[in-house]
Amino acid sequence: LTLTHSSLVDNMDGISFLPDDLLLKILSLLPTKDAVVTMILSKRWKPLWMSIPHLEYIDDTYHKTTYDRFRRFVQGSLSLHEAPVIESMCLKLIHNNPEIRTWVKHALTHHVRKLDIHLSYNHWPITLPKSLYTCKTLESLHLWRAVIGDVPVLACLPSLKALFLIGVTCPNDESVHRLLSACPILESLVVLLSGRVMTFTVNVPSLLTLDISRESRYKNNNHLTVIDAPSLTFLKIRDHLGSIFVIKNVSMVREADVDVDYDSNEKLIESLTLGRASTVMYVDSKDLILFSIVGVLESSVSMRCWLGFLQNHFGVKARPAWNQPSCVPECVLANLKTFEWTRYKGTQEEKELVKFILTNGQRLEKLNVPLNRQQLADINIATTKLHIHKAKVPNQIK
Amino acid sequence: MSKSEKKIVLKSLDNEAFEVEKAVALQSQTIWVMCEDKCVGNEIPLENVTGQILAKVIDYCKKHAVVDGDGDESSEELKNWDTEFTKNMDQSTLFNMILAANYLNIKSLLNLTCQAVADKTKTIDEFHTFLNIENNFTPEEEAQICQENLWAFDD
Repeated sequence: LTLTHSSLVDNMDGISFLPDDLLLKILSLLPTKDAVVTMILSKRWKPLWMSIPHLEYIDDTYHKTTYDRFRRFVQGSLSLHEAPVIESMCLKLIHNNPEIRTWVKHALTHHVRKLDIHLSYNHWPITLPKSLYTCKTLESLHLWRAVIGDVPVLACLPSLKALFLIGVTCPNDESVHRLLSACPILESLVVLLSGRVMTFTVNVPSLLTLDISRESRYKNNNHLTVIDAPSLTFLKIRDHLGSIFVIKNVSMVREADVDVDYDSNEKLIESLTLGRASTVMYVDSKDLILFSIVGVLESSVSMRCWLGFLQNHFGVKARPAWNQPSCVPECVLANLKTFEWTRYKGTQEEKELVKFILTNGQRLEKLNVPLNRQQLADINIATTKLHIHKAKVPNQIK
Repeated sequence: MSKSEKKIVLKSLDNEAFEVEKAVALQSQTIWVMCEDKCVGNEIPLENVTGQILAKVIDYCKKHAVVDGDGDESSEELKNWDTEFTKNMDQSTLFNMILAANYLNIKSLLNLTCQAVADKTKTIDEFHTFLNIENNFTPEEEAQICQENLWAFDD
């Protein structure tokens, strides 16, 4: 079909003038349910939907009868679907059913690139097919509330760049570790861990961005997260369980956003001296070279303290003091421009920490800590090197 | 680079000439390849696009070149501009824009215009009316398709 003049389009069955690949592109933008019924539009449209490369199945009903209808729809459309490659498949389910495995397998045998599986919490947890963990084409995998079990020893996801694990449970820590080890080019990892994962280790050399959080009904101080990611440039941590973080090899981090709750200041200070990230650390990405407190944790001093903490963990009640590192971490000296501490309470230890940052941050331009002039005088800091910005937060010092 | 080298002339199917900044025109992969390969000089003939459609395509490219360049305009604002851009396009203009975006290989414009069509066709009736598709099935054939694919027409 060659178009000689666009006015041709005016005169006829408008959209049918477009070539099949463009019609497919439009069909792909519709919900699969709406795309499929275009089979009754006309003879030309009848087979078209079978080639759409994007499939989306969303079960939005809680009733058994409508679930049966949904199931018939998925089975009916998959049995006729004939695109050789499935670019993306999204399955959002309220009822977990073993058939899900068959649907996922269909995507896997059709060289799926992007897979998004939302399961529900229920009594029959679904174990995903093992072939999921050896899919060569998969570039993006989102798993919501899935069980990460049964990850084979020979798992390999050579194309996977983005992995989302939201509310996943793992029968053992080993499975999830095996999964991460199977991704040699993984760049982006978002994890919301359920309480049952005790030790979570991210040791991925290719990783660029990491967003990690934990949720649990119970506070449990025994959760441990180890992050070792030498290429990491963005790090976000949310943890209100008082978990322990060991963070190493993250000297490339340019933006860190760490929000960790502890029941008490003791915990907070512990976390700083012992190798855990703490409180809200807001880092402005526009300035590119910025601070990450993670850098502080890198120093051998804090790592030594961390080891000491491990030895004494279960018996010690005494509040540890803020131990100023004997050597100042390089990244603080060289890079720190912005330091923000929203839940500053002004205890002696906290003052010590602010003093440490102010004294050693040679490039510090903006400090956002709720501190008045008197408190500032108390900690005896020369602030002349800091510029004054228009403060959004009262008592902000520049 | 002299000032004239920064400009380029795009000539439509109906011989309308548009002088535009090179940076604006090069958002089209097709034009980019033509500039690289042929050394066609300053004038690029576009055999598949009318002047009326090309003018709209250039509007789009100008808007997006400016924004990508200085980063002052928020992506939110750009999104609103895109929405306005396709909002009042009639059906035939929209299809011609899709064809032009496809021929000129401007991915973001192709996505935008296809999305605009998808947004206007949520039901079979909308397909028939907005897209003006003639149903060439006999009533018997249509009934048979529905019967064979009950799973698709279940609600």
